[in-house]
Amino acid sequence: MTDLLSVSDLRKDFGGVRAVDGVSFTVRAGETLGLVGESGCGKSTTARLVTRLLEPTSGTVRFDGHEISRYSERRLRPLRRDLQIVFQDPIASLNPRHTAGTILAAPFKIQGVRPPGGQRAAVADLMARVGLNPEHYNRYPHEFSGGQRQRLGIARALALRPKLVVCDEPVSALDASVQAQVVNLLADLRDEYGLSYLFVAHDMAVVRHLSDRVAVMYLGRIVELADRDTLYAAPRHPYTKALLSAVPVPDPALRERRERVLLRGDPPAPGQAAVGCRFRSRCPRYRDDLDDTQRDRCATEDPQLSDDPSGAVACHFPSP
Amino acid sequence: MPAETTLPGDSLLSVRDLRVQFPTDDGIVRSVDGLSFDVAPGEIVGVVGESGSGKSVTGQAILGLLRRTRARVTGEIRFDGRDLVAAPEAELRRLRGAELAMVFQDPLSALHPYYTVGSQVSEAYRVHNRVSKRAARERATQMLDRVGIPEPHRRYDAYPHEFSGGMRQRVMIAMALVCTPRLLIADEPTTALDVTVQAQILELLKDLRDEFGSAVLLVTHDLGVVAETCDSVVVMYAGQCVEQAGVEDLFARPQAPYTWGLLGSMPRVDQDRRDRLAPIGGQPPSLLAMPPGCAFEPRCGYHEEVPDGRCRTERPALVHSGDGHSVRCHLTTGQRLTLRPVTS
Repeated sequence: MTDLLSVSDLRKDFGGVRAVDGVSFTVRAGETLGLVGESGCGKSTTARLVTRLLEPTSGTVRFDGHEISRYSERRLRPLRRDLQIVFQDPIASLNPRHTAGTILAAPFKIQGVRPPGGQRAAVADLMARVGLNPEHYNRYPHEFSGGQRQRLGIARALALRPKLVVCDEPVSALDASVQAQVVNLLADLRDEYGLSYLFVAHDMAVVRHLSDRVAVMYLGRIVELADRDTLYAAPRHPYTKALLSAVPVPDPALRERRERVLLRGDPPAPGQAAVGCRFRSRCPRYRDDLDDTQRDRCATEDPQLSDDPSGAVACHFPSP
Repeated sequence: MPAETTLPGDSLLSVRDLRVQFPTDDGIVRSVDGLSFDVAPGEIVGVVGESGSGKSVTGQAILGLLRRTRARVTGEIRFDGRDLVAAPEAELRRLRGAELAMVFQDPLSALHPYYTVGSQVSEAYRVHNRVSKRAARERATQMLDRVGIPEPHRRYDAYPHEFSGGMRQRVMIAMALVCTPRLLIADEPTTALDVTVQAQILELLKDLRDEFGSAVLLVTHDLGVVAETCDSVVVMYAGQCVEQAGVEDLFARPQAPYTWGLLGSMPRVDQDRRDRLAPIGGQPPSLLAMPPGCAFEPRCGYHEEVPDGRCRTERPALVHSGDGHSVRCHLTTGQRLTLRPVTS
């Protein structure tokens, strides 16, 4: 498979705060890469960097053969047909004064695309495809429910049949029953149009459901990246283990049987570049399993993401 | 009329036919529409539902927080034998904080930004206990320590904005439990928190229940949180209880089509499920224009199993189906056994 998106050593500083600190990954054509982590880990910033809604401080973003990290807005514009984003909060990302019809026609207008059959028919078609009633063409965003607004956001992203859609927490604001509808819609559209997704989310269960490979972020770094099945069956980084064990499972019979790794403290806020492993302050392995020589290594040497193709992990003492 | 729930004899909180109605320009919104359930001493009861199901309003009604609003609250809320719906405001004020306490989703808006966290916890103690400031400070510091605030003596003097979200929620819990209330109402206490912090807070709630014997009414949208934390569950839909059971029973033998739908909607972190999720179609009904029959009928895939279109015309009653399990559905017990989808 070819790499559609290839990100290398990406960094972003906000003032003195390093939000993304040397992130590298690829998204292959047709695959979904899940990017997970807790608040402040830099996952949403990464989503905005690869779509060039933010300027990277350093690093490269190669999309479909173009190194776009320094492209001007003018040079980016033709590429934006192929690189789209869906946001968490549909109400904030839809112009309240525009009707559904206007919102969905905008991509065609901006890109100067004349769809066969006309714009109006193309918009109606899009609405039907994402499960909206095309008769609601003249409705405003506030006249739709939360789930319908997210369908509108997805329809807008898909209007020009992009190659890659970056989904930034697209279902986390939705109620469970509606969330499942939108998750299914995203899966169907991917299969139908052969889309690739960079799926950014904090919900480990949704990410498991939709992703082919998964990258776990902590404090601006990817700490583990592996095939979905490998990562969920045998997580190697102590943070991934803790994250997975913390997700509540809707089965009380498993309450006692599940292995729980309780982390102490909160995810730290991003700050200055630190010395040593950034997870060690909360790491149960560092706390309980390592001897002093090993701990010394964690305290002084920043673990790098190994480039093992079956599963990469940034830990000096990962689980086998 | 079928028996709605267990005998109220041993319950700490007993809610009967609770109705909360908000008059609006467009008509009356029936947020809670005839809800009955019990909480035993020391029990953790989950109230689970989606937005607009009435779960949060239920908690607010119990605490009397709707009294200064336009809401009309009727029915019975018996707490330790006293009817809170009819109780005078002075009595409620005496109970709130001392015997009934609440933790909200967003601790930042529930904590006063101008006062130190320690002073707010000790104030909560002094309102109900005649003790010196020093004794209250001592007690508040102990509580901060107990809920896992590191260096509680020093952190006593910190302000809410100096704390992380998880630490603020710990402060809220310390404040709620400082008078060892008999019932804690926790409204989405972990929804704003990261999952690793959520796990800590849920553990803390369970530990504190064991230690202080406080009962907990846990209002949440997350069936996973219910499964990990609660002893029994009330599933709400459009202001009504559609199913009620012990936690193991609910997840092992769910009876209501709505509960089936919720479970089918959830992707599982512990299971490899490559097929599609089974969501519930459509949207919840408008609380202004409730269907005359079963509130769930327009979204239910099983209404054709019930003869004579009864789901559309007749609202089902909440009926006991044995083992403290109740369900509001016209399907027969036999039908529910054969129709229930396999969820895991």
